[in-house]
Amino acid sequence: MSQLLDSSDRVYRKKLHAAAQHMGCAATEAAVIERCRNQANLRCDAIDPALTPAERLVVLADVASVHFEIVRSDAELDEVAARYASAGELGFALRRVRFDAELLAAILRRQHAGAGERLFVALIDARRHKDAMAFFSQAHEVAHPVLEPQLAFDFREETAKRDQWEALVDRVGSEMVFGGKLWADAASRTFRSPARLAVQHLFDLKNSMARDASLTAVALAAANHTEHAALVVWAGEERSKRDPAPALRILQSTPNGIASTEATFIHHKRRVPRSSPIAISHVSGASCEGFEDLATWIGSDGRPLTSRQVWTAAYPMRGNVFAVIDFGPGGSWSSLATR
Amino acid sequence: MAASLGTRIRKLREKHALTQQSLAERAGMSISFLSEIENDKRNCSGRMLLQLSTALGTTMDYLARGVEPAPSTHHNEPTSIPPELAEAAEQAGLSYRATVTVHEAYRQIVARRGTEPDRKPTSAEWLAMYRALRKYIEE
Repeated sequence: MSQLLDSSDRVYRKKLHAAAQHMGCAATEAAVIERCRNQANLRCDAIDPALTPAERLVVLADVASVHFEIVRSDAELDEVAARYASAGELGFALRRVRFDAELLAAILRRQHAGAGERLFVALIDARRHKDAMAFFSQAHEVAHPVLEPQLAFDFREETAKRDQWEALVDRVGSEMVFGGKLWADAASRTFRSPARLAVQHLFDLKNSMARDASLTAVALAAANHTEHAALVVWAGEERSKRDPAPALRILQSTPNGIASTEATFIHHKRRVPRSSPIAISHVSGASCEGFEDLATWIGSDGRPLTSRQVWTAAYPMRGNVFAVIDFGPGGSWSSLATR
Repeated sequence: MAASLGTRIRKLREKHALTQQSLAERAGMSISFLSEIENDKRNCSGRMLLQLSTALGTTMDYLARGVEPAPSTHHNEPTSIPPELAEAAEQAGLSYRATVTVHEAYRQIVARRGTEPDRKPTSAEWLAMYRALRKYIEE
């Protein structure tokens, strides 16, 4: 196993080094992300400095020579796979069955591109539950040719940690699409101190800037424009091995850039205390915001999280709760909360 | 003389069998405006160029400067048939051309997004992939 991890880590470093070399920057994640963000801003600002993320996606797809095929039904998927196969581009037909599993998107390099045609075609599966991820899948697929201009890497190497590279592609796609002055200003306003963030503000941001994006993608991209650590979380009723009684627990917790750097996170399956706005929102079925102390979050081992005053904005959705936990300036809102 | 912006737009429009009216509608501009651009009587703003490139499935770089996207060197690299595919080909009695076509189709997908693990296909999976492509290979 350790050999496998070493091998995948090597592959990751090799890819990062190649991307950095192509972009002429240091071979670090931060430098590569910054270079991609700056390049994207340059190309988008040349069209209009006030583009929404949805408009930036159109520009960036053009720059990366990516054409999108977005399918919303089985019939559409079959039609696209057959149309490209008939034109000698067999890649989608070959992967057709995989889309019925968990494949969200695939990018094909055209072998028979005519004069002026885009070089890559990204097939985005927006059928059923995948619809919510379709916008972000497009951002992700646009980031691939930027990070891997030759796309000559052997993706078929067996790696246990391949997701490390895909996580970077996710981050780059998000930074490129959710960028520019218009977005930065709107995102900063959403997280403006003193802490008064409500999920409704994120809905407003989504509806005005990127209607097709998921709430999670919008919240995370907005959280990356605050100077506070923040977590975007989903909570729902679940059991755990240690504590088999169903309880409201963290199902998914995604850190923004600062939280990621500071290793600030809440474990998957951590029980949500009854006093948390997340639990109140779950019980009441209404949105709820407020300060809470993370020391009230007790694990199944009886140990609490380190005491920190955080601002939690929660909103009930489809039986679960969506929430943003804002750690405030310096990692805690303590001074403000105790006023 | 090198082709102009207007010529490239017109050629692509004709290639896609679009009338000036249908392209103008797709790109959100008037026919008279499009006609003037095609006849090089008007300059095109960045936003207009983007609308046209999106509507024509091309890039702004191509429309403005005739720059084709750089083809990847990937497909010029020598390919070797994976042993699992060779085994599948032998079992199913596939021709060399069919085997290479399946392999090329597999290599054509350069990246994907999903939770499935990334690993080498087994010979049974190669065979399933051939079956998915058989009707196109045999056409």
